[in-house]
Amino acid sequence: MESLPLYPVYSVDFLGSFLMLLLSLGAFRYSLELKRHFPQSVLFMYLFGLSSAFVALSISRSIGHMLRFIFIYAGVPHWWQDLAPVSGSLNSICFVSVAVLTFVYPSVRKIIHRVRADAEQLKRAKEELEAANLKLQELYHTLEEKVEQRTRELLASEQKFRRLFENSGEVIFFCDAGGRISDINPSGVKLLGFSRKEEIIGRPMRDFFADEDSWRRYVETLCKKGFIKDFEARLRSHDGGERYVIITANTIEGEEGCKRGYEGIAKDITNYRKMTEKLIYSEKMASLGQLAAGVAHEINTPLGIILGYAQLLKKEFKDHPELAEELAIIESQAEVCKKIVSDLLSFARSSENIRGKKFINLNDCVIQTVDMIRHTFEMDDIDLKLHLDPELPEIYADDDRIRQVILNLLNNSRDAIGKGGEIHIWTFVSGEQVIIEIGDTGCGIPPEIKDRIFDPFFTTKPPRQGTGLGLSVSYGIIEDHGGTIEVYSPPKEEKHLKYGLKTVFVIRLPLGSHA
Amino acid sequence: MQRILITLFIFFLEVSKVWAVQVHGPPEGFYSHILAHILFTISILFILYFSRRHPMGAGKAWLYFRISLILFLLWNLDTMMVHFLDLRLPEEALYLSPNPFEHKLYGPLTFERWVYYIGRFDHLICVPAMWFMVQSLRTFYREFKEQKVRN
Ligand SMILES: Nc1ncnc2c1ncn2[C@@H]1O[C@H](COP(=O)(O)OP(=O)(O)O)[C@@H](O)[C@H]1O
Ligand SMILES: [Mg+2]
Repeated sequence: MESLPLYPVYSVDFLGSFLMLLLSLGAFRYSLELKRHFPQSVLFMYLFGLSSAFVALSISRSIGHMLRFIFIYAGVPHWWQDLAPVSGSLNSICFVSVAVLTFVYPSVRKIIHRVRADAEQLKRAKEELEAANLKLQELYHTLEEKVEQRTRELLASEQKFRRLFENSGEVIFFCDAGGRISDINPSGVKLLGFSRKEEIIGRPMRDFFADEDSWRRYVETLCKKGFIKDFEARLRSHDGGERYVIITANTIEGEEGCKRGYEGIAKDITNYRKMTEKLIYSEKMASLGQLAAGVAHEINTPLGIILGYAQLLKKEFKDHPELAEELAIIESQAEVCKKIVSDLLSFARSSENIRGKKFINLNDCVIQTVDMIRHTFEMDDIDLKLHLDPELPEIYADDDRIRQVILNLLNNSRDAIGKGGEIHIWTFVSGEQVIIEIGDTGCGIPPEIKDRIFDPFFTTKPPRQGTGLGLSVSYGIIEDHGGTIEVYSPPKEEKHLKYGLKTVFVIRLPLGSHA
Repeated sequence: MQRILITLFIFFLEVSKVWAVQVHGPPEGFYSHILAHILFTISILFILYFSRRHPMGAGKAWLYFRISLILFLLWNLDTMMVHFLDLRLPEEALYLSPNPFEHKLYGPLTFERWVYYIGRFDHLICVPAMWFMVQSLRTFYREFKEQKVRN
C-alpha cells in the first residue's frame, strides 16, 4: 500500500462539521437560556460568549468541510476558492474571540465580585441601619411610655401631697432662705386672718410673730439645729387677734449644704390654751373661795362683836357728842367690813352646792332686778332698754343668785357709764342654751386688764366704791349653773355696735339643766 | 515566556519559506491563524488553571466543562500539528485531482505521514469536546433551574 485515500478524512470532516454545527447550536441554546434566566451570572455570560464563538467557528468550519463538496458537486468549485479565505479568517477570529473572552472572564468576574461585595456590604449596612433605626424607634416608644408612666405616678403623688397640703387642718408653710413665706396652705391663710394666700406670700415670717424675743429664739434654734420641735409661739393675725401655735419646722438643705429655706407645720392651740387657762382659773377660784370662806367665817364673829360694842357704846355716850361721833365712825367702818365679809361669804358659797334651784323664767329675773334699780339709775340719767324674748323657755336655776349676777353686772355698767348712757339687756335662746346679754355705753375695758376682771379683789375703783368681788362672785354663780360668762369689749356683733355699746357681758345658761 | 516567543519566531521564519503551497494562503493569514491557535491554546490552559485555582463547583457540569476544555485543547494541538506537518509535506505527496474522491496521500508512508493522516481526523476529538460542552451547559441549566424552583 503506497498511498492513503483522503476520502475517509473528508467524510469524517463532513459529518463531523455537521455534528459540530448541531452541537454548537445546542450549546448556544442552553447558554442563551442560562443567560436569560440568570442575567446576573458572569459565568453564564462567559459561557454564552463561548458558545456564540463556537457557533461561529462551526459555521466557518462547515464552510471549509461541507460547502466545498457541495460546491464541487454543484459544479461551481471556484466559489469555494472565494470562500476559503473567509472561512480561514473566521476560524482565526473565532479562536481569538474565545481567547479574549477567556482572558477577560476572570477579571470581569473579579470586578463583578467586588461590586457585588460592595453592594452586599452596602445592603448589610443599610439593613443594620434599618435595624438600628427600628431599635431606636422601639426605644423611643418605650421611653415615651416610661415617661408617661412616670408622669402619671408623679402626678398622683403630687395630687396626694397637694390634697394633704390643701385640706390639712394644720398650718403648713414654706419659707425661703430670707425667711419670707413662699407658700402656705389654706389653714394658714385662715389662721393669719387673710382671705387669699397671695397676700401672705413674700412677706417675712417675723411680721407674724407677736413678740420679737420668741422670733429670735425660733430662728436661732432652727439655724443651729436644723430643726425645731413643738415650739410655742404667739402669732399676730391680720385682724389684730392673737393665735397661739406650736411650730415644728426643719430647714431645707441645698446641694452644697447651704440652707435653701425651711418648711414647717404650725398647730393652732389658741382654743386649747384658752381652755386650760379657764381650767386653771376655775381651780384658782375654788381654792380662793375656800380660803375666803374660812377667813370670812373667822372674821365675821369678832366683827359682829366689834359692831355690837360700838353700837352699845354709842348709845351710852349719847350726851358726849365728840365721843359719839368717833364711835359712829367705828360703827360705819365695821359696817363696811361686814359688807365685805358677806360678799366674801356669798362668793364662797357660790362654790358650794346650790340648794334653792327651781324652774324659773329668766325674763322675770331680769324684770324684777331692773325694777329694783331703775329709779336710782334714772337719777344718773341712765336708760335701761330691754330686748326680751317672750317665748323664753324656763331654766332650772336659783333665782336669787341669778338676780344677784344681773345686779352685779348692772352696777358695774352704771359705774362704767357714770352719768348719761344706755344699758341694753337681751334674752334669747340659741340651740340648747338660754342667753342673756348685758351691754353698756360706758368706758369699756382696756385689753390689758381684760384677763383679770374676774379675779377676786381685782378692781379699778376707789376703795369705798368697789370690792373687786362682784364679777368673781357672778362667775362662781354662773359656773355653778353649768353656764359660762364672757366679756366682749369692744363687742363684735352688729346688734351691739348699733347702739354704741362698749362692753357686753354674755351669759349662757344650759336649757333644763339639773346640775 | 521569552523562550516561547523565540521559538515562535524561529518557527515563523521557517514557515515563511513554504507559505505558497498552504491552504491558508498568504503568510499573514497563516500567521494570524497560527497565532489564533496559540492564543486559543493559552486561553484554554489559562481557564483550566484558573478553574483549578478558584474552583467554581464540584458538580457534574464542571467535570463536563473541564473534559470539554481538555478535549478542545487536544484538538487544538492536533490541528496545529497537522498545520505544521502540512507545511513539511512536499507538494507531490498529495494527489489533489478535481474529484475529491480520488485525493490521495502518497508514500513512502513514513511515521510522519501516518501521523499527518491520522491527525487529519481532528473531528474525532472536537465533536466529543463539543458534546461535553453541550452536556456541561445542559447540566448547568438543569441544576440552576432546579435551584431556582426550590428557592
Ligand atoms: N361694764 C363695765 N365697764 C367697764 N369696766 C367694767 C365693767 N364691769 C366691770 N368692769 C371692771 O371690772 C372691775 C371688776 O369689777 P367687779 O368684780 O364688779 O368689782 P368692783 O365693781 O367692785 O370694782 C371693775 O373695777 C371695772 O374696772
Ligand atoms: Mg362691781
